Amino acid sequence: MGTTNGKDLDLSLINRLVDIHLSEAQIKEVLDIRATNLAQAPSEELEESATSQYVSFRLAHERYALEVHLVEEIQPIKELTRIPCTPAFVFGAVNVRGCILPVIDIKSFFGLTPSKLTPASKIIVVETDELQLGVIADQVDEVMDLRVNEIKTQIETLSGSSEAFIRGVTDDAVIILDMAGLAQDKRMIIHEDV
Amino acid sequence: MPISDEKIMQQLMSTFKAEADEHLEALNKHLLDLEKNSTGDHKGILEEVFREAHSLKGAARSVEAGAIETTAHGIETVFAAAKRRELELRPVHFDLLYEGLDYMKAALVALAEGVDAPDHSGLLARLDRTAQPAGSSVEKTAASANKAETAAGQPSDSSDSTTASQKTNNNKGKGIEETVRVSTRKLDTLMTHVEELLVSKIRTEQRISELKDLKGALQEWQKSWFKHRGAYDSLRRQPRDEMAELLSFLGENQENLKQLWSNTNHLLQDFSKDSMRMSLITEDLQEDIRRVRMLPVASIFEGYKRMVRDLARAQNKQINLQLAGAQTELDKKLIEGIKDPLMHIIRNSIDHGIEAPAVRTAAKKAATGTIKLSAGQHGNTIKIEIEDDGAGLDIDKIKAAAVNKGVISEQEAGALSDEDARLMIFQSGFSTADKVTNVSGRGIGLDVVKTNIEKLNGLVHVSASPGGGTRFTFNLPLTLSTSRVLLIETAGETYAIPTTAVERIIRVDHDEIFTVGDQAVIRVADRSISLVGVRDVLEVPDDDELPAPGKLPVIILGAAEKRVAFAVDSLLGETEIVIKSLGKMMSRVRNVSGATILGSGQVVMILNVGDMIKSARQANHRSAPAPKTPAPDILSKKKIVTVLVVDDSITTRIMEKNILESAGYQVSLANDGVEALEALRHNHFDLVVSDVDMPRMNGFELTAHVKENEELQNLPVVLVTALDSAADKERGLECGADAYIVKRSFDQQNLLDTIEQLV
Repeated sequence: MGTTNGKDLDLSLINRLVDIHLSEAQIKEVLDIRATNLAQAPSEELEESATSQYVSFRLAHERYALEVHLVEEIQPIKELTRIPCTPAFVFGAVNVRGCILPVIDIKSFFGLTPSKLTPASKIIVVETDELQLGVIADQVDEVMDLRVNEIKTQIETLSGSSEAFIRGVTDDAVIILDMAGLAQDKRMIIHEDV
Repeated sequence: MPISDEKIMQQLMSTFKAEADEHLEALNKHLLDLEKNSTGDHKGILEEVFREAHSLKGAARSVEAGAIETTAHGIETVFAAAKRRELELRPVHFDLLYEGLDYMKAALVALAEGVDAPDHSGLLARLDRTAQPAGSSVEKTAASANKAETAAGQPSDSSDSTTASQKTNNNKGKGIEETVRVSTRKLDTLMTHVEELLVSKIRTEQRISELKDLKGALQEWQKSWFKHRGAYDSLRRQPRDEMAELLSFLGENQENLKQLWSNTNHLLQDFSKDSMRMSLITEDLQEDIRRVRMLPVASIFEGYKRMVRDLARAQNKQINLQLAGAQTELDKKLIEGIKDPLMHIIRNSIDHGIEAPAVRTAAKKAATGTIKLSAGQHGNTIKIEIEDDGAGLDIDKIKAAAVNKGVISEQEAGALSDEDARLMIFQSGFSTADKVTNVSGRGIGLDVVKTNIEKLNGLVHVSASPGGGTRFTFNLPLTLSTSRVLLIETAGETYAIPTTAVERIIRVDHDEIFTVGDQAVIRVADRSISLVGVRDVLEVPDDDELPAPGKLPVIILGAAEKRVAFAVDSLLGETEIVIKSLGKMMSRVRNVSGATILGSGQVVMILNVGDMIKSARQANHRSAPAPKTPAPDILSKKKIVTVLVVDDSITTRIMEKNILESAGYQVSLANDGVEALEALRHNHFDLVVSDVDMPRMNGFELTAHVKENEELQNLPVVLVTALDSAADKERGLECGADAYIVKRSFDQQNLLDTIEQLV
């Protein structure tokens, strides 16, 4: 949990220091440096300093988070209906105020141990440009502010296909999902003939 | 005028007005494009304008708007000439074409107002001249033939057009109802909202029963208070200080309790009234919205008259097209969906079915052949039939073609029943026509007809008509957005199956299942049908659950020519649902056509019967086909079926007796369950139709008795009742009833269809 390997250690240390001792002089210094940088490489640095909000949730022992602006609502799961003949990551379908919403399991999609439905399970209703779908969660924790530089993108434990849909991991080992990217993946559209 | 029903004509006129407006707008637009582009490559645009003019002509003809029809025809011939490159469109031509469009606009307005269209003989003559460039003699004859045809078709040619429109006006009277065009998507949204309202309604009913419970609890409380009343009163008579306060509190409590009970009672009564009102309005609203989407089939049927006439003349045949049930209403989408398949089958009938007059006379048939096109509603299905008294399908020719194309072996062809052979014409690439004529054989086969009908959740069937000709039947759901489904349960999940695809529901004993090759098979009505578990088709992970003891509920599903029996865990009943999409993510799921939300809020998958049958065939290894036996002829089944009707209401008894007797059943009557059992002990019956709510022994008990009795357990029991709650339905099916008909939805056909399926 939360172990950072040597390569990333220095960066995280600095981040923490900045967070803890935030004197005006330091802020000014940082801002000055950024202002200089800003003039040279505007987009990169702007993103670095920008904070985004994420909704974090748990699935078994892991914590995930996705962009708050994609989240329509969070619903307790009342009843889930299996959709036959669909890949394992399609968890089922639920009724959200008269609309039928497919629900997916992120862990199955990444090829990890499939999630299980518990009485406390929630559905995070996500709407991207492409799709509307529900994401199953054992528990929804909080909305958290994260700066882009708090999300580490060099992760050795992740590999293969799942990496494409993960923005990175925070120090607290929250896996930041790229939900919009995931929704664009070909596998997400189920289109099969007999 | 051919249509007797004035209302239909009025509705048609409204539809025509909207359609004509659209065509005119499109023509205008394309004409502008064409003019801008007159030297470049404009073949596509030409095709487009030609088609628009042609469609407008056809639409105008169907409502006998002669002025518009003739003008559209004139414009069409000009475009035809341009298409053949015999005419190069110059500004002067465009002026004339625009004039034609303007004239049609004016004629449309005149038609709407019920006045005569202005004279347009000059315009027609100029269009005619333009379409026939000097020196093109071939063109001249073709055009004049065309003209003659128009003249023969109806009394309106250029000079007569005024009379034609006059006639139309006289029949219709003044004014066409103003309409607003609303996209069907908007109507669907409305429908969804209404459906939500229905769910709320059901929840409200749930609240009522909760209120009743509350009232009951308060009543119990009051009762128990009364029991202790004596103790309270005697305590009060000997007051002690420390008790006084407590006693007065108890006294107040009693008053409060009384008040609370009375308030709850009032609330319950008012709420029940309100809820009743709301449910009535909700149901009306749902029905109204459904009806908004409906159109009479006359809107397409009428159009075929001219087509049949023209094609018959072209082939020197004499054909009379008879229409029946043209006022039957269908969802607009369905109407659009069946238009082309119907046209295709009618063309087929003209081309291959009806013989030339000489051949017919030689065969001692009337020289004039008949094609009967009929529509009707049967329960929740719309049945459309196209029947001709022609030569019929040549079974040997079909078999030969099938062998030729390698679809079946010669040996299989020999064993093939006539019925199965007939069904082969729906297979793709199958055509027995010796030569391609311009009537049929346009590269569109009957397989396309089948596919199109199945897209509408419908079924196509072909059989020999009693007169020796051919009869095609389309069975379609009443509407597209709502559908009646059979709810089944398998592996703990509920699924919905469109009732249009359910051919039969039976209960099968485990020892009635045998295997052919490695395929489970059951025999139904002397035919072998392969049996597959719904859970296998739906790829439900295997669990250790043992098959339920006793009879296995089996549903026989049919899509086009194929039939497969599916075993389910249990049957939950029949209900009306609104079909909902599974969203963009579920673009196409195997074996699932959509989903629905039940009154309880539960999401249920609707199964795709076509897919399921395909899946079942893939699941069952291709093995030798089961021995074929001749198909049973339903008509020859002359055996008299005896039915016992049990009901405590004399009116119902007599009504049911009449319905059943007129359908050819022999009917006996019983007053209640006890009488019924007595009757069953002494006489043989093939089926019992029973009410549920009866004195002495109710329908549930009767059913249970029947199903427990060794001798009677195979006797089908149909429960007919006013109780329309899911729990009752479930209870009915639980105690072994073979069918459950709710009186509210009770119509003759429903009862008769059910009985026919059971005996």
